[in-house]
Amino acid sequence: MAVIEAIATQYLEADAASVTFSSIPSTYEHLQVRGSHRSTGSSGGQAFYIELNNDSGSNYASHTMVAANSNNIGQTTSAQAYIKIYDGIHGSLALGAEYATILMDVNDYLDTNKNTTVQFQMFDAITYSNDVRATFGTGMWNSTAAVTQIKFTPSNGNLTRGSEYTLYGLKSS
Amino acid sequence: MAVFNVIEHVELSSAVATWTSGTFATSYDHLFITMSARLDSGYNSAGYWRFNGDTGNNYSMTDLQSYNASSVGTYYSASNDGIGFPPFSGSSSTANTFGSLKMWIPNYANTSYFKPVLITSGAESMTTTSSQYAVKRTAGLYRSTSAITSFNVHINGGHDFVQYSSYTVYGVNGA
Repeated sequence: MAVIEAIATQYLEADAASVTFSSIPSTYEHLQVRGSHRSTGSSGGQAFYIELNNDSGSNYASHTMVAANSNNIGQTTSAQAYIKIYDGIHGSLALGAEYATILMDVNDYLDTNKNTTVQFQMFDAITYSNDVRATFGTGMWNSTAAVTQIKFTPSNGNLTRGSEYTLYGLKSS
Repeated sequence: MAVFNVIEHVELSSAVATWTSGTFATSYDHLFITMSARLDSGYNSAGYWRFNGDTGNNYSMTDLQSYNASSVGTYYSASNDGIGFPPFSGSSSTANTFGSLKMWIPNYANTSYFKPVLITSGAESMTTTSSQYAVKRTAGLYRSTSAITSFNVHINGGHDFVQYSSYTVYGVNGA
């Protein structure tokens, strides 16, 4: 039996407000998401939101370090309604053929002794010189519930047709 | 042949100061280690990694790090007796919150070259206060041509890993 398995892929045939992986099976130890996406919003970089288990309470935080054009910055959020990643995706001001990238790891998503934490790497707006970003960071959900649902939403506009996310499960035995 | 293979998965049933792995087979191409850990002190104390029980000054490292909202810093050490300092959440962090770490060791069994070690890590907490969290990307080098067959990690400053801290070691095959 394979240790890493693709649980589901969502490919957008049409623009959509968000993408949700629901009923995530409880047969793995860790999760990974690999995605390619952009937004229809009239922007270069814009924020990207990750919500778990449909919890929209002020239960999330995120911390990042970012290569922003030719600068470096750190960014923090706390008590948010989602894991908020500043400039984690780009909108329509980047060239139409450019899709941003997200790689995300979710450790021990079933462990009810731990709040859920994630690591992510994101790259976007390489063709829009005002908002070029390479982001690495972590986020947390202040809940020990097992993760059964992951929702991705751009802050402005819809996810563009052709955006695609794959959810993988990693086993530990 | 499977690409990913589980070598070892451990979850602590009680606190430990130094965490030592089992012995790895050298039959894979790469190692991937994922760790979730919390410490018994502070906000973001740092792990200190050694391989094969080697305590000599045989390690080098550099990193990108952020502890605040204004800048990204760097650190470099040409010669040290371990690879530091990936942060983990501590007892002052939000309750039940564990830091996370991912480590890749390409060609860990190669006996001709030194071993590169790539680490991403973070100490999370519900806070925007400087130094109450940390994110870091580390490039390390174990300057040994021996195959890596084990690791140990302890916390800089002598703190403990707490119960429920865990890691998984994967052996990853090429074609």
